[in-house]
Amino acid sequence: MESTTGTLETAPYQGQQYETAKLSWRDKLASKEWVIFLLFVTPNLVFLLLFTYWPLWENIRLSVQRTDLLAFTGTNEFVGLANFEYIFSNRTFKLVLRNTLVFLVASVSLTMLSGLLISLLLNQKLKGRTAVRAIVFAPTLLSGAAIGIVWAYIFDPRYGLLAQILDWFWIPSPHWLDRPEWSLPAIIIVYVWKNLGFAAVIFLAGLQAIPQDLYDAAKIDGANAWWRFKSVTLPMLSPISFFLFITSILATFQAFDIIQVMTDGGPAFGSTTLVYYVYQQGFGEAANFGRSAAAAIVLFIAMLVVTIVQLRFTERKVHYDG
Amino acid sequence: MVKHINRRSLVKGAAGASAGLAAAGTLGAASSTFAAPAVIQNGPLELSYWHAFPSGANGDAQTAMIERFHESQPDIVIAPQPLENYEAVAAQLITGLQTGDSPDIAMLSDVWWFRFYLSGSLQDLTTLIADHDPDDYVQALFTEFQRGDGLWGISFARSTPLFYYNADAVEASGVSEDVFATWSSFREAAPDLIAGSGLETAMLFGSAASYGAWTLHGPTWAFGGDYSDPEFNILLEEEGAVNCGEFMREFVESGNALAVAEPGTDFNTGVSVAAMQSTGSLGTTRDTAQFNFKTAFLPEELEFGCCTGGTGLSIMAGLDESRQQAAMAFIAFSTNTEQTTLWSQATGYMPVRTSAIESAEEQAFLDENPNARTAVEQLPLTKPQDSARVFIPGGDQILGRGWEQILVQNRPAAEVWAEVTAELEPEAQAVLEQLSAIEG
Repeated sequence: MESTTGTLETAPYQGQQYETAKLSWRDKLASKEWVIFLLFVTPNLVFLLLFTYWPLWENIRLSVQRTDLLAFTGTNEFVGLANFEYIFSNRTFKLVLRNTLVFLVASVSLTMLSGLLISLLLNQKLKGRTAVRAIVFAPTLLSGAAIGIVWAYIFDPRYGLLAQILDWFWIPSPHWLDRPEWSLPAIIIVYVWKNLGFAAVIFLAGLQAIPQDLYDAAKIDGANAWWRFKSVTLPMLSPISFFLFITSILATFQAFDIIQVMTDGGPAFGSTTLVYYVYQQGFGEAANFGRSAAAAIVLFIAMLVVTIVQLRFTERKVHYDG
Repeated sequence: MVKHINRRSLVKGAAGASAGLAAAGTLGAASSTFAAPAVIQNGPLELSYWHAFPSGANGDAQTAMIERFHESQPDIVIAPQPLENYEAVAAQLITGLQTGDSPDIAMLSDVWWFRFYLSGSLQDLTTLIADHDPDDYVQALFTEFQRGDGLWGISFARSTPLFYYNADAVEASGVSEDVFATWSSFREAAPDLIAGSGLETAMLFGSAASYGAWTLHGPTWAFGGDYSDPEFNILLEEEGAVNCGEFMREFVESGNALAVAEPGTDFNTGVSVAAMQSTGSLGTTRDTAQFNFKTAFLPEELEFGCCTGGTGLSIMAGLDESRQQAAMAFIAFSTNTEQTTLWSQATGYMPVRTSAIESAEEQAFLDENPNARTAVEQLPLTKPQDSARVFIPGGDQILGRGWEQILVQNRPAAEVWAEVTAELEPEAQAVLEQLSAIEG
């Protein structure tokens, strides 16, 4: 009931005292908010503990052990930080970290830039725009393994589509998948191709949500197309860009399928990224889960750092208001 | 060694599959009845079998063999689960052993069976094989699965590296085939072979994933080197292995050889004058190559060097007696004289029984197929691989990555082998400790 002063008053409830006295134990429990809270939260908490925090703890535990699923003793030996010492003193791991950084920066930046460019094109009133949108988005829906197989054909230096196109310009095709200096660029090209449709569609949604008034006002103020893009479009797209930035980085950190199919991380670890190294150590070569877990912790820390940096960036640069 | 599915083999697959089906049909015509073990009393017994031949000529031959086994007796049903390659079988078995989902029979390669032996996952076959004429198996291959007092696998798809060359290209170049006798003469003739044939390269080497350390094992011996000795001492830093590494590095660096991910496929599509491939690739090359090819012994240098390889069939530990005997019945059938002959002819894998090699059918086949005869004649000259590659967990990949560093990254062999040695030694020590605990 609203009082004349605008504040809320609680109406006395007839017989309240009587009913309180008659509450059953169930009602008593239900009347306590924390019980309701627990009832709602417990199932999720159990799943989180079981499928997120327990594996995380197990991973930390494994990282300080010499482990082998086939160890004949059935027990693992505590080795302290030896697994970390191994991976950080290993020349290969340094290469893997470099690959991960290159892959991350190149695929995220290229995906976002190309996605933005395509979305700007698709935002024009052009004939067949809907069909083009569908075509651009299609690779996102395809299986990574299938994409990997098809692109392996495309990259073939002798018979591949890319070799034929390069041949028109008298450029010899690189041995994309046989040379360590080319295998990572090949993987980056495929990932960008696969993901740019998603980025374009999300950017397009963002572009279409920008109020026309802002552009009109900018025009009245004499802003040309570049200034309108710089001062209206880009700031208004910042929440979308931030979302894409985060999802692209997470996807890149987890990239696996295309690498597995196209290069198996090779040659000479040329296209092995951190997550693929985790797989190789655990399942690929020596079934050494200790080293694999140690590498996974490095991956975890890297993702944590990136996330913290992103959050700091969000506070300063992303505009959620029109 | 198992053939990977890859981009070009898929393109060639249609032709290969047709030929393979034709071969399977021919093979299917010949099968004899087979006595199942007497302990099977209550209807057919189903056994799971994980193998590494999902497709191609080898896959068709494996499927046909299982069908012939079913036709030969009514009591045992084999439920095959083809996996992509040897590594996939091993990886699935590692996880399967943890969850209790392991097969009755598993195809375990040269580099994997020993790990399952160390973990106590394999059944000793000494007694089970006793009724199946074990002395008839080619002893050099048979004894490779012996360890301690037991026998932990029966040789099945056994192979050796073999030297394949494009006979049309060699003829076009005007270079004598005799240059393939030694690595030095081959290297010297390589520019003429390339120029005369018009092919991209004279020789192909493989990566770690394509068993690079296996195919280059023989050449390492040929240059007087070793990966290790039987006591797990790593010998890569000694002169022979370093010389071999340097020789092969220069071969690639000079532009006369290429290091590629799929040497077999590239050879079959006419990229190179020559390549080292498994004898088990004979069937695939025969089906897919669009040119005349020949095989030869691996080139010599200071001496001849060629190793064995491939896979055997193992029975998992913990099965009851009837399942053990049924599993051995299938293995014995798969490696009997008749099936060995059919299998070997269809795939190119080595005949694992002496009686199969000596059989009239096999001799007639070898007369008609001199490429296969080369492989059989090279077999007595081969020897088992060094412990560093086959007995150290991951040793094959560690060595293969080393070869990649030398051939693909063009790094000095001495430097790379020093790093590989440092990586292998602690792993070797761990194996020695486990062996000491198991074998005393």
